[in-house]
Amino acid sequence: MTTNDPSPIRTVTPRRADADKLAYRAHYRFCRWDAVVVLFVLLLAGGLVFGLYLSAKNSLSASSHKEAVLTVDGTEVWRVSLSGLTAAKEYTVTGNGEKLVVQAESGKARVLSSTCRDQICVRSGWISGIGQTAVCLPYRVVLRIDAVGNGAAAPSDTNTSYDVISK
Amino acid sequence: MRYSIYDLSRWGVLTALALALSVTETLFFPSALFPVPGMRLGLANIVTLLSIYLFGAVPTMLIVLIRCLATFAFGGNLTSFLFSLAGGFLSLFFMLLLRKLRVFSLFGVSVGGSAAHNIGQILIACLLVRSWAILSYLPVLLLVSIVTGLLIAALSAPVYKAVGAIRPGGDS
Repeated sequence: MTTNDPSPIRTVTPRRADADKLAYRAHYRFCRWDAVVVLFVLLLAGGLVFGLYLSAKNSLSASSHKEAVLTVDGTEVWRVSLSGLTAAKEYTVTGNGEKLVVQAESGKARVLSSTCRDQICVRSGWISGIGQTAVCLPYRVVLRIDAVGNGAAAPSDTNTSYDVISK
Repeated sequence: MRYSIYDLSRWGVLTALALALSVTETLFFPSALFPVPGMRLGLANIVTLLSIYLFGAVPTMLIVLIRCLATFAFGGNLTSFLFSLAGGFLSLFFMLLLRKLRVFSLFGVSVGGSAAHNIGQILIACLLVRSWAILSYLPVLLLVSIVTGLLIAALSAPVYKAVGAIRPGGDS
């Protein structure tokens, strides 16, 4: 069978035509193997949720309080304890004409404003659960809620301020 | 491998269709509409899916590559180019694999492809910000990808039904 032939007229034996029909009919009907794929993806999502939940729970049991951690390009630039905050604290990431403001209050934190184009970080709103994140991909900024153990005396506000978005 | 002008023009038409679909998608379904960051309908996947069945592996790779390059040229930025390339090719390879197994229909291949697309994008995002924190978005995106994958397959099935009747099988 010359499949490159643009002509719609083909001479095929009836048996071959039937086989072809069967071959492609099987491709556009949902079959039970497709359900296996869907199930597999569901399981993957469920397993991931479970794994993330476990890791969050582990860090929670060993901890006494929550901290907001701000990283830029994988480097931690700001960390503030979220328990016992009476007034809102803010931190500004600047560089290259870019500006991203992070706000922390008692038990929660958020990206208050950002000059980035997609505003996903800002629309993430307040985050409070351990392991929750607000991410700004254009500026490579991650705001995360961490659980911190009793052992270390809670660092109240480590402020290593240096220009971070300079690439 | 030798390809005829007929083949080349068919790939060209599908590439144009892929571009048109991805532009349509950004026009009518901007990402701001969706609650989950990074969630997309992935209409251009219709073309990838059909092309896998109608043309086979190599032409589909070309189509995906040209689509990514062209959307980049039409005013994308480097970040989104990286994202679409990583997601596009991971999903393409996964779809080709599922296709080779021969037990799945368009639906299974499509769902697997969109799940792989999201996994690829999340991995690139993790690399970009150098943190695993973004992984927490993945479960939601995977659930969404089941829905969008089925939708894409449902949209592709009638087309494949019509076109496949002219040239069944495809990757001969």
